[in-house]
Amino acid sequence: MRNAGTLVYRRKIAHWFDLLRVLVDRDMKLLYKRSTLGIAWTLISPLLQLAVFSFLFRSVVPLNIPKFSSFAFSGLLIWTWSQTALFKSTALITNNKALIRQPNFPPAILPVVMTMTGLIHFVLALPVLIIFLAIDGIHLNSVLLLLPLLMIIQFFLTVSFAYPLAALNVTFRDTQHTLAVVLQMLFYLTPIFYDISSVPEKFKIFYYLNPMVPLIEAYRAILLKGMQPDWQALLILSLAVVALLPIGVEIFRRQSDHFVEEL
Amino acid sequence: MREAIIVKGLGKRFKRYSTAKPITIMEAALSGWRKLKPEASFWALRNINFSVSPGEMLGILGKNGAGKSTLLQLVGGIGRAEEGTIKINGRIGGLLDLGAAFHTDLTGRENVFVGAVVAGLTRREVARRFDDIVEFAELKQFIDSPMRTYSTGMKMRLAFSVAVHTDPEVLLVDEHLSVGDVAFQSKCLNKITEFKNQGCAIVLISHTASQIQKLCDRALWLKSGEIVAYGEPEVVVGQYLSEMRSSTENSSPLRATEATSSGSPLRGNQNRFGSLEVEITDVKVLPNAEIDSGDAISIEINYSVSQEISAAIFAVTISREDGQSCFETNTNQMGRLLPLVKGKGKIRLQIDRLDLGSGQYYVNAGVYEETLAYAYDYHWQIYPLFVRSTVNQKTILCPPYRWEFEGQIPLRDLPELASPTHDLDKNNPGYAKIVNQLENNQKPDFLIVGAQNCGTESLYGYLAHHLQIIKEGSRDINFFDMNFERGVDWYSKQLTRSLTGEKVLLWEMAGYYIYHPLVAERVYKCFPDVKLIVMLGNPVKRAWMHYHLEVASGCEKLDFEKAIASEPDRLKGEIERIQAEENYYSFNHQHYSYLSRGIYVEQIKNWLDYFPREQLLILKSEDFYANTDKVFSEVLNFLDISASSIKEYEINHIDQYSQMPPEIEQNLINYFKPYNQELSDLLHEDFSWT
Repeated sequence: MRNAGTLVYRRKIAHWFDLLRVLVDRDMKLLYKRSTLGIAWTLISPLLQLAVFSFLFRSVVPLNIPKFSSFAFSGLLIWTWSQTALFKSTALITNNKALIRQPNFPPAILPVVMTMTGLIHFVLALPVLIIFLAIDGIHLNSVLLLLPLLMIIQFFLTVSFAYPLAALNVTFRDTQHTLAVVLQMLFYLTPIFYDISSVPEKFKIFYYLNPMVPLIEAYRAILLKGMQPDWQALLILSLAVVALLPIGVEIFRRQSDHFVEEL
Repeated sequence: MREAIIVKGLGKRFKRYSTAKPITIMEAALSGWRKLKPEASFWALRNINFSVSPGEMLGILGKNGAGKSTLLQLVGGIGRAEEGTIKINGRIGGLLDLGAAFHTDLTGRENVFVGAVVAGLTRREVARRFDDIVEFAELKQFIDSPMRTYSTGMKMRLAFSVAVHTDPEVLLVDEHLSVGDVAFQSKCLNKITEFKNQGCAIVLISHTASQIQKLCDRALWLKSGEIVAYGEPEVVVGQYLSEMRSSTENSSPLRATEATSSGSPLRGNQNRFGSLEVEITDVKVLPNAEIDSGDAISIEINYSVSQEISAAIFAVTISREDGQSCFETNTNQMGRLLPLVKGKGKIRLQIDRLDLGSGQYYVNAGVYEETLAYAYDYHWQIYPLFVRSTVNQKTILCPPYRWEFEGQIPLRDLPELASPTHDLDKNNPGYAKIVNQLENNQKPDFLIVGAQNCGTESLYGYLAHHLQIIKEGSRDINFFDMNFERGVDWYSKQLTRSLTGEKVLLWEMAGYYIYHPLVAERVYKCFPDVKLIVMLGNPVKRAWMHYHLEVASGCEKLDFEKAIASEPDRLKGEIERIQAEENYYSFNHQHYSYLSRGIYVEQIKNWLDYFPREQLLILKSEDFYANTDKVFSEVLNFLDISASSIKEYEINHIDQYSQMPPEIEQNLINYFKPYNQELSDLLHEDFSWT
């Protein structure tokens, strides 16, 4: 009896991962098929931004940040992953009505699918970043092995916010527009193209409330400086994610009972 | 037995928000988050109780907005109910939004994987079934093309194929299934029937009553979220239809019941609708309400007008018992307006020939306002018309026809076709040849021959349940009584095939067999070794139930006393005619035989003239209901089926007819007494039913 129970349970887990894989696969394929450039598109946007930033902050308002290309491009890639995943998550439920009406379909998988797709794009863009690092004369060392850990933290951080946003958009259809404005503001308030050391001391406290700040700092410590990240900051961030994720999932779960009637 | 779906006390509440409810964050913030609370709530579903066993099909009827889809969604685990419980044993599959997970930019192959995994299979399982899925959808050469190149039909086929290959144990089916071409539809229905036979529990929602009546074992009628009726599909569908009719014409004034010349009462909102400014006082079907197909008839409408009407339209339809209209015409179609003056009048529709198939029809007559906006008066299914025809009774049309042959057709090479198979001369060598042509395994192993309304339906159900059905025979084959001219070969293909151990059993049931005077002889001549099961019930109760069924089906208009009194008249000469004319079908003999069908002793004697006593198993339905297990194992023993695994069965015996007037009952008891005594003596068993 117990064996049968575990078997059913195992099959359920296996099915959940298969479902994740199939849906991510679908998103990736759609991206490929819709344009001849395919996945290259996901690189073009940060590269263009990088070009603009390089022009602005090297020639117009010089910031004097060493190895600026690597510095800004790493920040852009990290930010783009979370921003795209959150932005797209808001429309998840409203865009996937048909899936949600299928018996047994777990709507909770959709934000995970979206964040996972973002992660894959991030990983695919890493080689380009490494080229930038090489051009800037940075030698990578064994600290690079810590990179997956950061990606896991960022993954769960993004998912924690994706859940409540997806649920909110069912009630308020302008969530996506509002979120676009908020994310735009956060983009400038996060040290992506500038260094946090140039932020005046009295404002720094606000910066450390932004969970993306310790994350980007940690990425840069590993990639640009070849140093251990700030473990204390990462620990606090991880604890915050551990606390936020169940809250996000719970908000989503409560709302999900009403998705079908509200759609 | 474990039920597949158990729904108890289910209630789903929807919140109703104010129309001023903010739909954007900005508005919500401006209004101070106040209007976000729902204004009121209402129950979309309340007090819903039902269960579905494996192999059973439940049909949910109701108008749009009655809560059907919500109920189906809740059963499918979508959304959560505020009250009650839903228990599902087994994997759920849905034929709901077919192709919902499909994306037009992906290929068929990619979509199959997405769709099947979404429906609950793992990728490995999909890979294993992939070829089957594609083959069933008949899309092999297109499977790697993008789905945007598919026609709607192709998409539906693929979606359906994916859905049915997920091995559901509980299947939820939406009415939208009725899209697609006819071939695809019948393929779907066959597949669904196959699932049902394999023990899948099915819930079907539909607002098409006929579909539910045809497919389902049980029906549930939902209205504004509550159950109005739950039970036998015939009963529930009947109630539903009569409500639908009356609600379409709710402007009809109430009026005391009147009688018509046809003898059936006119009841406002049941079979009569209209504002009654013009009244139809009588409708006559001339020359006779019983005609041969192809005869001319005229329909005479008598009316009276209480105030002058500038223009009116008269309409006549001829409809079948199920309401399907076969012929419809009105005076507007001849391009004339009919002003009506105060007083009485008469209008006649002359039909030069009416080529309908045989069966019971109704002539419906109405008089309408000049734009057909509403009826002044409309009489529905009151005036019966019975059509006799030579062709099979299941056809709608019976136009004049003949076969013509050109060129050299070697008719002589087809003796079976040229000489009819119903030639019943025992010594006819041609006849013996046909039976021998059948392979051994195509003979029926046993027949349930009746009597009608004595529990044979329940017995049939138990057997169907106990045996593993590998092919469901079409019900009511009625070969030996009504379709004998179709030949034994046809018959053998219709039989229900079921598996017990390694043996395949072929069988069927017809309640009319025992009573039809020619059947015993025909069965003997075709299949002398076949086992026969007879179930007999109290003839008094049988007659009463039989009468009610005829009333319910619209064949009987008289009250019970008159009906049994006129039985001798109605049956006069019918048996002689059945025996004299090979293909004669007697409506009266089948339908108006309340008492004579209860004279079992004559029928049993007829059968014992052909078959040895051991070949018949004669059961009493009262024993069957009181002691189902014992009697059912007797049946299994008789059929040489191992009785090791008798499951528990629910008794579906419905006994809700009103009480027979005691005086009539006593008369009938006395009437049957000598026959019952004779039967008891013949079979050495007590059949006195006291």
